[in-house]
Amino acid sequence: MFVINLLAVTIILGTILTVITARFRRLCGIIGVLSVGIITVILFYVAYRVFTVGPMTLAQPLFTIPSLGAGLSINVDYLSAIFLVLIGLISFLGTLYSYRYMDIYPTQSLGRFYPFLILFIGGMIGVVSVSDMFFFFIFWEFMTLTSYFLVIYEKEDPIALRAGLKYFIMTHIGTAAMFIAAIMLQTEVGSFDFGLFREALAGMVASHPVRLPIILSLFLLGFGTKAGMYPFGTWLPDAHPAAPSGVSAMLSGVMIKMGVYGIIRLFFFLLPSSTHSFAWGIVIATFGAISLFMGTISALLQHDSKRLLAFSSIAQVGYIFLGIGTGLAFLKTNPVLSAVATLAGIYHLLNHATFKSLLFLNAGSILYKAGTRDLNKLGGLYSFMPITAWTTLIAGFSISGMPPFNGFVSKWLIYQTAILGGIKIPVFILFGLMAIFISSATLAYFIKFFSTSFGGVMSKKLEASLRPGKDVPYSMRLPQNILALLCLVLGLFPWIPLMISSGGLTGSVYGTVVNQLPAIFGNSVYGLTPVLNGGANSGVWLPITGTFIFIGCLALAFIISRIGKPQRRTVPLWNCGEVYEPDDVRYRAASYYVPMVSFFERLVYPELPTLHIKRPERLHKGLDFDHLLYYPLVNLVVRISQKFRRTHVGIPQVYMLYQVIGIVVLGLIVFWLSIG
Amino acid sequence: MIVWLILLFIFPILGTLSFMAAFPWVREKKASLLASFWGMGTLVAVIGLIVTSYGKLPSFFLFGQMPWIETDVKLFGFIVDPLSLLMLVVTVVIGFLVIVFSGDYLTSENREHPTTSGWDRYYAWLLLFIFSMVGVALSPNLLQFLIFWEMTTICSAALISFHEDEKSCRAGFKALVMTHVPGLFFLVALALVFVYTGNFEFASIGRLTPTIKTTVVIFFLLASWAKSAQGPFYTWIPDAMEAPTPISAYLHAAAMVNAGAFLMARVLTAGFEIGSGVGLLIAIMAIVTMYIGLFFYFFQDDLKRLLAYSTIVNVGYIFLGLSLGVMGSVVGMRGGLLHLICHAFAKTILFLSVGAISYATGTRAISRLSGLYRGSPFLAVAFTIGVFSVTGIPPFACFWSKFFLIVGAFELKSVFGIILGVLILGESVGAFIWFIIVTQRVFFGKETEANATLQVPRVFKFVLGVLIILTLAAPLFGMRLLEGVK
Repeated sequence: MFVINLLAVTIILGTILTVITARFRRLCGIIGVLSVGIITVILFYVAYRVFTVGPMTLAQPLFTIPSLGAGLSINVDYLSAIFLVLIGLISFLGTLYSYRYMDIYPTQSLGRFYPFLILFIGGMIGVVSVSDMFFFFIFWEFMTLTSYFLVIYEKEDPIALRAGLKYFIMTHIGTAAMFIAAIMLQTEVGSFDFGLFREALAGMVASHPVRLPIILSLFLLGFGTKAGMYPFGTWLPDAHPAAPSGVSAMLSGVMIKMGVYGIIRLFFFLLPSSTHSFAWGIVIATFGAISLFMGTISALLQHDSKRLLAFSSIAQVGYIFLGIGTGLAFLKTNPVLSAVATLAGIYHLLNHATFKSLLFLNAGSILYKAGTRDLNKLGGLYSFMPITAWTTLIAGFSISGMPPFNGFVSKWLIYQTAILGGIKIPVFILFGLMAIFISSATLAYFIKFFSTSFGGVMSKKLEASLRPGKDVPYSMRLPQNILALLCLVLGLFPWIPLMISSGGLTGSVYGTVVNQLPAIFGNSVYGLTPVLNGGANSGVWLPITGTFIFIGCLALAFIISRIGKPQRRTVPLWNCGEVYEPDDVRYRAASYYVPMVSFFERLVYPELPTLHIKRPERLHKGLDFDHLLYYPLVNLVVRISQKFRRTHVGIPQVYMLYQVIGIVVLGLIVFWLSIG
Repeated sequence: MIVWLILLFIFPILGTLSFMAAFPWVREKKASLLASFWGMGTLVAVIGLIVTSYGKLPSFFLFGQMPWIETDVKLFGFIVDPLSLLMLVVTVVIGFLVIVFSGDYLTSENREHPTTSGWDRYYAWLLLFIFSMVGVALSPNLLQFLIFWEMTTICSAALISFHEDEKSCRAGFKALVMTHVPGLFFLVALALVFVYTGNFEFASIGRLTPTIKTTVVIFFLLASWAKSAQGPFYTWIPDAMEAPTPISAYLHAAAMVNAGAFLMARVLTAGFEIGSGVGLLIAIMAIVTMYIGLFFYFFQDDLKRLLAYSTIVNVGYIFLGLSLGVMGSVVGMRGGLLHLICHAFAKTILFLSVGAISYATGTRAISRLSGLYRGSPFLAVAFTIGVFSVTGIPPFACFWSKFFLIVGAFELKSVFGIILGVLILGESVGAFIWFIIVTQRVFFGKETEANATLQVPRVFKFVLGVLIILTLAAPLFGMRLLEGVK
């Protein structure tokens, strides 16, 4: 309880203080970083408590709405704790990075940045720690709302505004779909509590074979939209580039993972193991495979650095979904394989958070230094920002699954489980192979990203406009370095994150399988020897040994080159004898993968056509009931009055005639009455 | 408690009299100050009433008879129950804020409609309107309800045609005709109830034979549809936007349109059973209205007219909630009434923000406004909160009530209920999309010269600030209050 109060006070105080001090940019930034730092410390403490002592639960809901059966009950279990660590880490690094990064928006008020950032973090914390669907939605939409304001931070930029609009509307529709699903469940049990939802779903498995898939598909639509699953996630490539880079890192690193959190929570914790999980496993895996294919291919075609990374987020989320979907599909038939696949999904989620945030920070650094996101204009930045270049390289190797970095291990596990699962359901072999080949396409777009920005010759124009100073400021380098280190450590010791992730499955449908997981992975901190298919080992990965061999080879190559003393010459580029300026013959981003581009151009993410609906005149008129109701009535009254008006001729004699006639008529009536 | 009740009536009527008889010469801000005094008195009386009556609900105070009309229950008096408190909070609090707002709005500095005369008329009618709304809220029977109800109609017509040009006079007349003529059904229904049961109590409707009961309820329904601009009678409200903006905010967001829904709430919660056919009728009409309003959103260039259509839609939500109550869902009923209070506050924010925009820039056309954020960030914040509240983005006001409504619809456990729920959500999403687009167009994007002059008086900021707080608090307060409604 004390922790919650502290957290709430920090968030509220941080918001208010940053609003007040918005004018003083440095102070505002320091307060922002400090508050997020405190939040992070609290989150780490909570996560530590959960990992060591056990789930933290509030005995009583903080706030209840009896007539809805909703209550703000807080329940932080292992899964939530993993996400809390993620939120804390990436948010803090992203905020620290933003402290100096926000200098590139000198005309925009910080009063629209830090407060929303802090509230955004609060929203995410809420999403993962409540155990009640109603309040889950409140935090969920709050998170969307605050991140919307971060996306439209450059409020004069029509592209950013459009992106924000698209983002908010698409995710809002997704949330609306989830509303329906949640309320359908609520009417079964009369409460929004997760525990009762589990019972409702268990009851529905047998009794409502039609309604349950509708509910699950609505949930999948909502979570999938947030997570950037292929056909629903089209907001992502627009929104991520529009936001400031620190926020992009948070959006991509943490926020879209909330959709994954929702899916894990729903399918592994609430839905009991049944034929439904099998079917939905295949569905999720298929969506994952499609996303990873489309996302990567789209990323290959991009020339905007952050847009490229945003597409790659779709692809990497596809990998996560493939892992989770495989896990879900084999829940009943092969629980060990299933657990490993799910774990690989969660592990890839952690890895993606590190390397994708890092890449977004790198792209931000390039933007900070060079003032552009257009890869065609960049080049030769290595000598100006070597540290950023190295961290980019590490992140790139991770994302494309190169050993010994962390992306390799999780992808390796995903391939293995998918292909081994394919023995039972052949389509998974296809998914697995797709994942492997797409991984090489990932390397391709990363090479494009790296070499167009850091490699090659710098154009004169860019050199003139570079921001002065060596590399980027320290407070921007530090987050990059930390994340790069994490990429390496998580890859060298995969055992540790895997064990932490396996804790996340405690309390899920796996039951006791979770306890066998250390044995399955070979019980050694130095490597993995997963036993997936019965007794035999399905491969060995000893990262430390592997790295030593790799470094040894490098050293050998170096020694040989020293012994041979090869001559090095630096010569200008040979242009077949023609005389060109270096700028004219630069190898630009647009020149990469031309055949690929021409082949896939049409296929990928067609932009929605701008709708120009003509005003439906007839309907418009038909719905304007004035012509039916009001005007006929009023006109009738007016017409009758017009007739009366004619009697008023304005001649006194005529009026006197009216009087005389009146008196005569009156007299006649009186006479008739007196006779009668 | 009785003292507060009497004060509640005395303050506004004294205010009206003071403007009519004693101080017709008071001008500009001083007039607003005087009116604010009376409004403040009313506000204090309401607070006193809530404090003294909370937890002791409901209570009746009846006195007085009328010659020629012999009933077994006394004819006049007050009823204090959750419903009337709900309505009182909406009418008096917003009424007071609107009076304060008008002080700076009705000046010669107003770029849209510079005002140089008529303050006495304006505040007299406004205070009379508050008086009659208080009367409506506290009426214990149908007869008294009708009297105050028609008084609001007259005041509304007078206030709509405040500017006295041709367009606004026509609009005022239209509002008068369109609310009064269907209001005659109220009179007929009243007569039917009196003839068959011998008194005017709400509960007496339950003692009628089923056929007459249904007829009477449908007659009430017609009257309240017209008052609330529902179904075929919606057309008066977009035209009534000729009124000064504070008046639109008060009449067409908070008080007058809600009076119709309030009548139905009184009738339907009077404690008798009514066939679910009526519920179906209300529900279908509400849905039809909602979608008509939604359709018209997309063709409005005038911000105020857009808000007018949004009001039509949102009062449709209230009716829908009532219909859910008739069909057996208490949650739905409470959701509808919660929507009444949440929507009233939120929509007032929107109307008053638009008033501030037109005050400062002289235009209300969406196509001519852009990038107002730089001119007045506060206004942008207020408007955005208003939009989020009205369209139901968690955790803002109308989200709660809409959620209640959707749960209520699904609770019916019928296909019809599910369709209703989905349709509610559909309207909600559609409205959200359009309003967020409008917000972006008006407040963000490139700046135009219109906003170079954006000077928002402090009074506007104060009123909007108070309203923002009230809007955020409305669901909490409303839910607590409505726990007594069955």
